[in-house]
Amino acid sequence: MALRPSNIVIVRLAALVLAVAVVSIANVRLGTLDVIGLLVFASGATVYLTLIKLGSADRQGRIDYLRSGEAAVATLVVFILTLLVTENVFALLGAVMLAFVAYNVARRVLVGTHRRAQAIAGVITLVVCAAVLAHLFSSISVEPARLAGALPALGLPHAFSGALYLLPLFMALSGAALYLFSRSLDEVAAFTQGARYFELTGGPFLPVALLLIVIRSAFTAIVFLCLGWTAGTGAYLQRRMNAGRLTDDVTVGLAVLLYAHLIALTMPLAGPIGTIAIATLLSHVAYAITAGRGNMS
Amino acid sequence: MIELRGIERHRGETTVLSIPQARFNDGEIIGLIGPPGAGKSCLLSILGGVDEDYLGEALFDDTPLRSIKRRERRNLVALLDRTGPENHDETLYNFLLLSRIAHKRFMEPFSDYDIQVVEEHLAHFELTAHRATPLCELTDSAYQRALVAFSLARTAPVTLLDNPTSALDPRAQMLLHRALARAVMSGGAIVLIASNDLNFVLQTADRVIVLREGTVRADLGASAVEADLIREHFNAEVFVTRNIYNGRPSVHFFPES
Repeated sequence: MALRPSNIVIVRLAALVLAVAVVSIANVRLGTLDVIGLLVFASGATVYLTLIKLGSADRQGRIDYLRSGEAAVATLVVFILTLLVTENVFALLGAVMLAFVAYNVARRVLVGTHRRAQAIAGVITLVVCAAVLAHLFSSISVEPARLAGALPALGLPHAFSGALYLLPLFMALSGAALYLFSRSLDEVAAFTQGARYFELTGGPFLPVALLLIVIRSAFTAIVFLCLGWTAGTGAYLQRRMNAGRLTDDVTVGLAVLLYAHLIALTMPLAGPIGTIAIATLLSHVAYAITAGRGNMS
Repeated sequence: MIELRGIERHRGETTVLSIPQARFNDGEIIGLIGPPGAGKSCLLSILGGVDEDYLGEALFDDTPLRSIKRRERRNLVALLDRTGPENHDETLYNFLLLSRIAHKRFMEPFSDYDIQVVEEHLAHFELTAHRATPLCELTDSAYQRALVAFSLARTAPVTLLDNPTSALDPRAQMLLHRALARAVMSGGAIVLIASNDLNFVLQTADRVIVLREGTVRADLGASAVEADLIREHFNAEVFVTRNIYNGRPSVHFFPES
């Protein structure tokens, strides 16, 4: 019997929930994540949903944060801070966010908004950050296990253990942002067409563009600390959310969470560097697939 | 009505535009013609509010353009120039809907009237079949029709079109000609066309202004344009015949002998 579309959606959502539950249990059993880690992952996935939605307004957001080089920059910042300064979640959030604002402004000015150029700049940033990290690995006299532990392949779930109240706050923030976004999709569409078109709305383009960079940097910082390198490819699901249906948003959110848990499953075998390598490789594959569909502008 | 008083635009030492006095009346289609660098696009940029670095005053119904707030200006002037949309993944229909964004409130949906205006322009410019096509997949002609339709669907009292016929095939030019005639039919709108397509301008405009080296060299009814005027300002050997249906001039090159 053929299923009606609404039934298909329900079955798809149920299957995703089941899959997320199975891999969550697997991650707990393997010791990759604890209960707090599961909550942090769920919060991160919710915030990432907003980030994906933002990608429809911000042409800098059309590649994921792994491919853009943001994850590499954040890894460097977190690595240095956690080893040498502090593991305080607010300090880490602030530092990563500031690093993202600086990096994204520089990216906008130096590289522009062309997707291919952004991707190339992202690879260069990744290589530079990897080289700096390799140098730090060889020069800092700390035991290797602690060095590897400072790599936020799965984010920093333990950093949230003293500030769990942040997690519902992140979710509420995402919910509010998603609501505002769904109500202003036309203005968002005008923004993507450039200054001349956005000014038809009566709003000033440049302040909005800068505000968007700050908001995007803040959300990316939260996502990075919650999910690390595990959520990159979600950015390529943005088209699925264009219709503005709640079920599509929930499907994408669950898909992001499932993907993050699947990447996390590789951690016991591959270690943090191996997990980062796998996530980066998959991000490149996802980029190549979407680029092959002509989505290169 | 638009009135220009002592408009001057300088770039370094060079004066690129100098118009002591000019008036564009409601209900008129005005064609701006002239050789490259004559100041046609410059004048449209000033009137469109894009270029504000000029001397003198441009008055819209006796109100200086400079004193009209940006928010009000967006409903007053529609400018089509070389600045195209940046997001070519957008579908044609969604792109055209944006032409009505100045008429809607923030976070409110488009009204039925906005949708009707967009549908009418889609149909008029024969773009209905392409409504779901991303801009990047349109042919050159359909893309240019989309840009023209965007400007006209704004239903602004002043429409400024810079080279609107580039990439337009003859049928699309005819559709544009009809759309412009319809736009000024009520008598409350002004259309200025800057173009190198002399025949389109002469068939469409009520009045022709010849610009050269930034100054107005002639201002006359389109029907009064003669071959000497074209020869003098375009340095081209041409002759002029009359359209047998409306008596308007048609410019032809001499065949090579």
